[in-house]
Amino acid sequence: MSKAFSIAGVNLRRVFRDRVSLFFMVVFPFVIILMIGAMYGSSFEARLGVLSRGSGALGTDLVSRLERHEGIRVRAYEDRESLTTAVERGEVEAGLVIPSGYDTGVRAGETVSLPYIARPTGSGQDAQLIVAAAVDRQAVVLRAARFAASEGVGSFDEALRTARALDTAFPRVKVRSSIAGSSVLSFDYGAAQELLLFVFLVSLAAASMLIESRRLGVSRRMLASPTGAATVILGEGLGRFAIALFQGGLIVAVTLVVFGVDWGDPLATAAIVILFGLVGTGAAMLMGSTLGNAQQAGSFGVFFGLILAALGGCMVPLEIFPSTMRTIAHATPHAWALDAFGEVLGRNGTVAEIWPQLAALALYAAGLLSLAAILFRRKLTA
Amino acid sequence: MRAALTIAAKDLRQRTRDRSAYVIAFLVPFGLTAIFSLTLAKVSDESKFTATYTVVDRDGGEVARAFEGVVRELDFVKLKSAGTVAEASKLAEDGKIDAAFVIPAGFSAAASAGQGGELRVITSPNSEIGGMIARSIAGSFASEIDAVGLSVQTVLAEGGGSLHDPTTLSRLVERARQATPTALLDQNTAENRLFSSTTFYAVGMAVLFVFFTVQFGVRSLLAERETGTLARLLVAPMRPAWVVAGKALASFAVGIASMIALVLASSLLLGADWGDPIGAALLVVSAVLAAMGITALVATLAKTPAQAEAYVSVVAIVGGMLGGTFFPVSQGPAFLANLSLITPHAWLMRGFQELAGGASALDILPSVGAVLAFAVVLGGIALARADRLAAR
Amino acid sequence: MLEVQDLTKRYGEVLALDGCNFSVSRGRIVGFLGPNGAGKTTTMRCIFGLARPDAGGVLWRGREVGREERRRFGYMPEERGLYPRMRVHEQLAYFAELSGLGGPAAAAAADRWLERLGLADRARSRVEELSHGNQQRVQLAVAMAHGPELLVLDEPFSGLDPIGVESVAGLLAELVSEGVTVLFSSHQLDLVEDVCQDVVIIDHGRVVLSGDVLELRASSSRRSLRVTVDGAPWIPSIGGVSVVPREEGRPRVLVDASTDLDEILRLAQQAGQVTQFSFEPPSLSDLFFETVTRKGSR
Repeated sequence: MSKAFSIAGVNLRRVFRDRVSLFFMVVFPFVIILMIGAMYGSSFEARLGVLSRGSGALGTDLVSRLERHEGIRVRAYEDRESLTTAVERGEVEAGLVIPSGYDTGVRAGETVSLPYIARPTGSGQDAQLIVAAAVDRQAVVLRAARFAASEGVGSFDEALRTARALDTAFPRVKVRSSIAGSSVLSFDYGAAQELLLFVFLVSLAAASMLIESRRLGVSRRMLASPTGAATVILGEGLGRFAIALFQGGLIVAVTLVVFGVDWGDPLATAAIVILFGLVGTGAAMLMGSTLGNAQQAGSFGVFFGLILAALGGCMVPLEIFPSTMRTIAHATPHAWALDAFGEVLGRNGTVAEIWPQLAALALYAAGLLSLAAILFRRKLTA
Repeated sequence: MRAALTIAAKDLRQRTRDRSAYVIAFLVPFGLTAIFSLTLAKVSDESKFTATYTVVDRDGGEVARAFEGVVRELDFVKLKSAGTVAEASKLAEDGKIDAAFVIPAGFSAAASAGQGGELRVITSPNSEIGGMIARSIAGSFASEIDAVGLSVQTVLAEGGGSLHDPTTLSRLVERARQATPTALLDQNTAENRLFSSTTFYAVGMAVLFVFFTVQFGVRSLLAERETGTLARLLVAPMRPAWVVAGKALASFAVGIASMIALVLASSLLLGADWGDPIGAALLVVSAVLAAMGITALVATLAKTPAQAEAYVSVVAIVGGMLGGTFFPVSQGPAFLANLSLITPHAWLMRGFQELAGGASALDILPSVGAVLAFAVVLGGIALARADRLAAR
Repeated sequence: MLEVQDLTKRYGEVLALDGCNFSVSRGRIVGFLGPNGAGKTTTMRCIFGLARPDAGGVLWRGREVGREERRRFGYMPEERGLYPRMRVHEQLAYFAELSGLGGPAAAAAADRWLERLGLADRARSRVEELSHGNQQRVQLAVAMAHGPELLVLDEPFSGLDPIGVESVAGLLAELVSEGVTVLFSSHQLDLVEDVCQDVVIIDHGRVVLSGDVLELRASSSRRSLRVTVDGAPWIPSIGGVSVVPREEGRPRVLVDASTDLDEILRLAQQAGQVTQFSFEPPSLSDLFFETVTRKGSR
């Protein structure tokens, strides 16, 4: 074991001596921190682009209702094209079009459709709940006014005034929402998804280092020294694992402290990150033991890192996968780690609750590392 | 000049014989696009989404039954029965259902009387989206009750006390229920169909991998230094700049070929939409040039091909993440979207998405210009540092 | 023909070349010898403009060496400089074309050289598939394919077995007989002693010894003596003997050239049965060590 540590030490020194890669080591997590912090930090407020030209008094009323709503910021646009471009470019999360005939249409008893522009996946979908609530709120009053007018008890405008006045004291039906078995009111996997994707990608980078050692004959020398293949693999992996862990830890800590991203129970999150990092390192060692050159390792690493992340639910949440695909997804360590994060974030889970997922991750790590050791020995002694 | 062509031709010949070149330049990015668009884009398609809910009716009244009917009617919902709140909570907690609706006793009576009430939604911790949709179903049902209640009250207030006879009142309530809604959110807009996921993934992967594809030029330059063939080239009677030009030419050709193959394959096989061909061609060329500039600059920092490899992949991944090739970063907050513009990836994504949205070649010139600026500035710095390659 | 004049080159703290001075005459095989780090590779790089000297220069037929002059040079770098996965014929033609031959002429030159090396049947093999010796020959051929007048080879013999050395040496001799001038470097002085006609010995960036090998050896004031008596090495107890320190197992001594041979033989016979007796001019490494120690003690 001490031999593994000294191999790891040498590898770490190799990295630290190279100033350029040291620079990348810090810049890489910094970018992720910014991304996660900005998207999932506590201060995030969705921006809604609104086009309401010619929508009349009722349109203006809807806009001011949206403006008063919490959790959303409204920005005005003058035409549909610039609104669409703004959604495309991410200047706003979503766009709402209140058509120019809104006022007259509502008065005429029509059902006016309000085009809502957002990407099929993305935070524009979350903003939709808020927008729908505001539209519904106004619709309650408008329907009351329209109904009163159609009952012939007065003009639309008179009825609207009455309905508005009544609405302030009207006892509404409330919706109370909670998450089963948890005191958490809402949560977001997003940060966990990106963290897992990132830690795995970074860990896979270790593969090219092992290939380099193999190519230079350093590994053969180590095996001859005599050090077991398992120890060499462990040592080669350990250094890179330490780096991945440091970067993962940095991301969690900084996004938690600076941006207020919720990571749940610290012990449980640490356990997930550590075990997942080990799985990533195991995969890297497996690649490093089998692939021929560093160039292959680079792009294959990205390939597998992305494929596994996608199948494991790091890009699109697992719950919208069809059930067969959800089963397939659990062939990836990502899905297990995400399940664990679900327990931790969604249910205040602690290590005690997520031990099955942790055990699965530990099995992955052990399996990958031993397979890597066997193939590594075979490759070098063949 | 002829020497540069000779070098480029030899590099290309060697490249075409290298099987792993095809893997990196085409198979990997195309494979990722195909898998993403066949799995992720499919599952993101709302028509395929299903949710399992349960309604715990502790009221038994007319309104409660109406709510259950509404939920049952939704074509993406599967209803599961549960007798008690505890049972439903357990199902939700275990992830057996996405959410449970609880209608408390006396709900129908209160709702009919316009006295408000409370609908409870218990969501599963595993169901972020299923839970969100459940909340929105409950929310719109609550609004519906409010609308009927307020409608009746408004009529009563306007019409004075003359309608307080029970049969008249219940007819009034019935008419209020039948009233058409005033407004509906319409998500099925032409714009939303244009944000096709397949196109997004095809563009994202092509932009991400062009950096890996194009880097072979600088990598081979470093490799030639290691094997000493660079020394042989430099002693040949030609300007050293021709060596660099030859390498650049080969990289350019490979980059363009790979991008064109990706564009053709993803549009023919996967239905991605790359928009106006002239605009796409401009973006492809500028993408390859920018990738060449960046990889060349990064490679001047490296001493060995393996190091260059490592640096380029870090830069490509960071740029790809920040530039929005994996996740639509432009969906993030403004400052992040602005920050992402320091990467050529972000400009390329913007340009291609505008093309997919029907923009013409003229409209995307700003994006092309920005990407070319990366190519010129970074490539220029790399060239200025290039003497290091030769003279020691 | 080729004159290296006062080359000086500094890499940071290290003075790689310190006024290196020598010339190479036409049609000779010149060994450019010296220990590792003496400045051999740097000098060769300066000849080809791969390194820019801080001072001094290189002349070819009295003219400063430029791109035009280098057209007549062939170079094999220390790293060998072949693409391992490229086919032999393609490789030869490629470099020949870059060195100034037209496409068809380059292909013809490649054919000619493969024929000459007896590798015609391996034209479509990849370089990495060839034996070590054949790879070595291809490396030389690549430097020669465009028909240069001067061939500069950086450590062509390192890593070769005796058969390989023989084969490369034979090839070089052939080339010289055709009028080519060869300058090659080596750190193994004894290995190449028989290969070169002239030597330039360099140490710490300065030329310490140069000239015709045979003349240098003959004009030395010392002789190498090896005597075996009763199967064991025997050292005469006379004045002016220095034991060559590098060959502990079978001691060899250097004695003055004027030493009376008969006297030594007599002393040896008194000690027992003489089974070996050799007396010859010192080797190149003997000369090198002698020069270096003499300079060092000065």
